[in-house]
Amino acid sequence: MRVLFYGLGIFGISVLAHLIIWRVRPPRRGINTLLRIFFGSLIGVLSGLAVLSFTCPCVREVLPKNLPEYLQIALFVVSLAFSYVITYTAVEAQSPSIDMVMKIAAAGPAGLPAGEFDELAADEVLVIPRVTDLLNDGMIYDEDGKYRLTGNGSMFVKVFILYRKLLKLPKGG
Amino acid sequence: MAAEYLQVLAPVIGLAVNVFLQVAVFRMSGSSGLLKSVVLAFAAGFFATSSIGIAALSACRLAPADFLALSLAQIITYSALGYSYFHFINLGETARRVRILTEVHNAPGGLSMGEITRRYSAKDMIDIRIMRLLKSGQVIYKNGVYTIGSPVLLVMSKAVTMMRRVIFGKRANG
Repeated sequence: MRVLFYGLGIFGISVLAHLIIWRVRPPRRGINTLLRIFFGSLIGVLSGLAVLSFTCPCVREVLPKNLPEYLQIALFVVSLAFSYVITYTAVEAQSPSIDMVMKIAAAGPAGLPAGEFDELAADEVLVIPRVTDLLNDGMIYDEDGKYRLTGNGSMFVKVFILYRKLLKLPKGG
Repeated sequence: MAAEYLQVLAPVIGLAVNVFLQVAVFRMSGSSGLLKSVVLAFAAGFFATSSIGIAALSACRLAPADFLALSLAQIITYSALGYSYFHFINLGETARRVRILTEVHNAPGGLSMGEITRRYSAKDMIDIRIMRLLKSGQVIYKNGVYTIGSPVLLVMSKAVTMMRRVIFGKRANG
């Protein structure tokens, strides 16, 4: 019961912090900040509980008992945090597929004429902002007008390239 | 004590089974049915997590309430890991950032903005997505117009739009 209680509690605190911070002022590096919130809350709460278990024997009954329990809480929170952050990536950047589906739905039973998607197909809306995001996130850098991968960007994309090679899949996008 | 650690690791072992089987099933099926391989592998990982979890928890001799609560924690943990893995596959398939990074990676001298948009333009992006929506039956093309074929993606689109409003408030439309 303690694993669920503390795990959901830490996750809840992180989500609340996320919503408050984003409502006040969304940070420039959203995913990075979100990861810091989750891991900061996790480390902070677990450290606090560990200190309490040594200093206040009276509350020891309601605290995690041993190392496996602490590890299970950490794994529980990390798995939920990954799910949350990966879902956030889809919410953060307006998805063209979602725009297209919403546009077709808005047209109703009469349907949407084929040419209507042309207005969505602007590099200034779909490509250039994503390049700017990659710059802000430190995935690429600009050198004499040419974009190159940073160490983080290279490591990040190599995981996908390797995985897609393993599955013999073509380039996505 | 070993059983306690094993029950903690059950969802991680389940995820390993999931990933291994998903890759194996997809490769054996001849590059068709990505979604089928994901569903099948997720189910196998779930089975592995539950089996290992129940066996390990039984060895821990817990009260029934604790047994149930820890089983639930294992299932939630495995489901969250499986969901993250599914999204990881999906990111490689659809994310614009990953595609742009791949293009930059494939150009040792780097790419200018013009070169990026020539290799992956907004027009390509829309065309790829229309093909994907038509192929999956989410959208139907008939008599020169597009209509909704299946409500699944529409429901997901509405959910994402709602989440944007919750997270960003008034800035969601900006």
